[in-house]
Amino acid sequence: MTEQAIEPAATRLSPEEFADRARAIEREVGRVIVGQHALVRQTLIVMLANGHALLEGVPGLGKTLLVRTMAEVLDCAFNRIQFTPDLMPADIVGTNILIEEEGGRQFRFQPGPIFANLVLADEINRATPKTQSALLEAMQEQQVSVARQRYKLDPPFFVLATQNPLEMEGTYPLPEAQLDRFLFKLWVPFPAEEDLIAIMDRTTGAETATVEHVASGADLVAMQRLARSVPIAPHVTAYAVSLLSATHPDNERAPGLVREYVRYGGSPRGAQALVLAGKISALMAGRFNVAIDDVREVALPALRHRVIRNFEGEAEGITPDAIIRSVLDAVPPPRVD
Amino acid sequence: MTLDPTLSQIRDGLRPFRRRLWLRRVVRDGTFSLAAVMGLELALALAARIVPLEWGRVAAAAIPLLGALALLVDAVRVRPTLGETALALDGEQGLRDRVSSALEIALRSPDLVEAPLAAEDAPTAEGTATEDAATYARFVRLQRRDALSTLRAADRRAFRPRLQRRPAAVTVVLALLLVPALLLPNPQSDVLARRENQRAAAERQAEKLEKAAERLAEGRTAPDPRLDLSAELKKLARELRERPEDLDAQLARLGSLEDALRARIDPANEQRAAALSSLARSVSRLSSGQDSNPGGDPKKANEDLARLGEKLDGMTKAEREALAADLAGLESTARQAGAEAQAALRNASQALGRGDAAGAKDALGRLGDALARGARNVELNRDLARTANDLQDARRQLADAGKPGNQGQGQGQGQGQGQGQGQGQGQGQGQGQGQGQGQGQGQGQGQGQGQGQGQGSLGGGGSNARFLGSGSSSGGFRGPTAGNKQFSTGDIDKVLADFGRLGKPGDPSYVAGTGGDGQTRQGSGTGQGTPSDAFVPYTGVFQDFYDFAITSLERSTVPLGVKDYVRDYFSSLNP
Repeated sequence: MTEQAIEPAATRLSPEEFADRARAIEREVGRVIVGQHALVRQTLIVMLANGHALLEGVPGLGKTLLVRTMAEVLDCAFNRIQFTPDLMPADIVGTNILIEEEGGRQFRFQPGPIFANLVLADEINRATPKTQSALLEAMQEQQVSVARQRYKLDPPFFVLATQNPLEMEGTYPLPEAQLDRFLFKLWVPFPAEEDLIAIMDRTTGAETATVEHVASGADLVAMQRLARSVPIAPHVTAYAVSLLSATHPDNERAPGLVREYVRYGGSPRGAQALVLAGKISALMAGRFNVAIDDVREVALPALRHRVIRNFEGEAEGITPDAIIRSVLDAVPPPRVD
Repeated sequence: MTLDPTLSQIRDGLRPFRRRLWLRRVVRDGTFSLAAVMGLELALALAARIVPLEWGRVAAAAIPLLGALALLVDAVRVRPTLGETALALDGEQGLRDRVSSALEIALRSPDLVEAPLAAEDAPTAEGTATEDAATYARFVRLQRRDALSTLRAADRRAFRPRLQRRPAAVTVVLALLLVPALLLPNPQSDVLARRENQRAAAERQAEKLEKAAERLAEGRTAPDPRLDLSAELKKLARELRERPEDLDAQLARLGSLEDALRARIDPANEQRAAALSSLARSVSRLSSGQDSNPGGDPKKANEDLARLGEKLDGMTKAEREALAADLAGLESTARQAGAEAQAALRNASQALGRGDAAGAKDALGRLGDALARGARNVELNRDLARTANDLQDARRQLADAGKPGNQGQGQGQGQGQGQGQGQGQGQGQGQGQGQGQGQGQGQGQGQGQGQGQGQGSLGGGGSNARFLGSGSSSGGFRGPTAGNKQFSTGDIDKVLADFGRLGKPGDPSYVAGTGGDGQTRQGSGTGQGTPSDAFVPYTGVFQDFYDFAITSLERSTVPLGVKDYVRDYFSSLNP
């Protein structure tokens, strides 16, 4: 098996530049996306953490527009894959095609739409599990294997998948293993009325909002690298681990809701997501240290898709968010009196 | 090693906060300690109202001391570290873990604790491990500077000492409950006071018993029974000291010994003593022809008898017959002095009548020995009686010390009459016994108590006789036979009861006694008396009357109160 890799260009950033650039990205995206500040910030955190996000929301809330705008602001290669039941893995990762050249026939790899910096997997739950699993290697290893050949994906590489919670008929819910690959699961809320008014103004007029490139893919890689260098105090890491442990029903700190309605708690990737997202959150706030509040702020998107409810939990409509909130209540920040 | 100056400044900046945090902790724990002390004091005060706690005051004083000691130990234990201070400061002032992170990361990165990075901003190869390390180090320095600036901007009045609401409220409530618990009269205080009195009384009685034991043993040699009695008294005194609280057992021991002593006392000891004295005086008079032995000393009488024996050979027949007649006249007195004396006297008289001077001399010698032995027996009996009285006093004192404060009172009156033998007239009050001729008339007072049985002492007749004789008088006291009783105080009443504890009519437990008939009866009798001098100095006979009264009290079952009454009466008459 051979490997083809593309080395990214990297620049060196200071923490202050990190914060400035992140704010610039948010500001620029905000020129197109009305409201949804938390969603924009959390999406940006996912990208700065070199992770992937699963966006869940009813149609028409701007999920696709958000991802497209992000790609434009970051000057990244963007591909959109519309997942359908007949979509095949090769349609995503690419395939070898037989071509004739130089007087002979040979197979040449034709890259699929996964080969982009930012991939929008629209309505990911409509594809079959086989097709969904084609994303696994790409998301985790940032490479694809076709016909015993591995192809490295250019950094930065993000998968932003969307799914519609309403139309569940004929869909294939993502398996837990694949869900775990997503750093965040973001809930796209319905806009407030004032935001809706602004959306009407922007989208029904003659002018179309445009954005500028405020960062490049290389900048994003540098920001990712810087974010990972942020030192974190042991008590903050311990707190993140405590939060994750409390999502397990057999843990002594697990609240009643977890004990009653959770089948499996979060995997260690959950704690990694908490710490990494906490670091980025701190940097974006202009701080050099990770606070416990940073970890608590990202707990909902980082853990809500990692908590597997049992039958009773699903039957009684206990939402993962309610479970995570109970965990946050059960594991208060360490307090010294 | 040179510590990073920023880190040093952070540590220095945290120290004032650490002191304030320490104070807050001490105040917080002090509130808990105070609540605990109040709770324990209240519990102790309540417990002391239910059961008598002799160690209650000590415990009440020790609880605050223990609380203070616990607080002191706790104060040492809760002294915060700089790391704890940093965490607390971050939480108190919302510093978002800046200070605590700087300190903790310094602990985790000892290589970054030292000097500041010399080439912190030096260019490094991008994407290399060196660059990552440099970036990390740069973050560490930035964190420290950020932490220091945050620390300098922190409110210096952080960690104000504050009372914990719940324990403070509990403390106030407990204090409010404690005040009445301490100030209201405690029913158990009487019990404790009684126990204290009991211990003190036991100590006093132990001392008295030891003195009595020393008195008994003084100058005695074995096999004198008083030595055994002395040892027994010492043992009793030791037990009294060791177990003063075991009142019933101590009273039983004292009573047992007292009963044993009284069983050994000759009831007619004082009569015998009087007879011995009278006989001694008489034989001395016969020997010397004058009243050479007014005190009735048996030794003197013995010597006089020896001299009389020496003179027998030189006597005429008529003188011997006269002497024999005189001796025969003393036979009734000698009978009361003892069979041995009576026999010796009779033998002497008969020998003189036969003209057997040697036999008479020998009989007179035996008479002297009998007088001496009788005197020793009298002395022994008196010692036993005195010791029994001491034991009785000890019992009474101990019983009084163990009794509660309330006492009933009662009184009965009656009149009695003494009947005497002999001639003469007398009138008196109290108890007496007359000899000779006369009529006894008296008035007695008695008190009944206890289980409704009253017994009055005889109001005997006084006498103007010169000497106490052997006549006996008896009189029935017509006082209440069932004394008044106000209330019962438990088992103590069954052992001893107090003089002034008789009840009053109307009381549920009042038991009316049978009243006396109020009549005065007079009796008269004739008997053979001895020649007497009509007038005897009061001081000369007081002791005789006293001894006789005490002996009479001892040989009959007389209530303690009445005994006290008699003793007090004689004490008031004591010259």
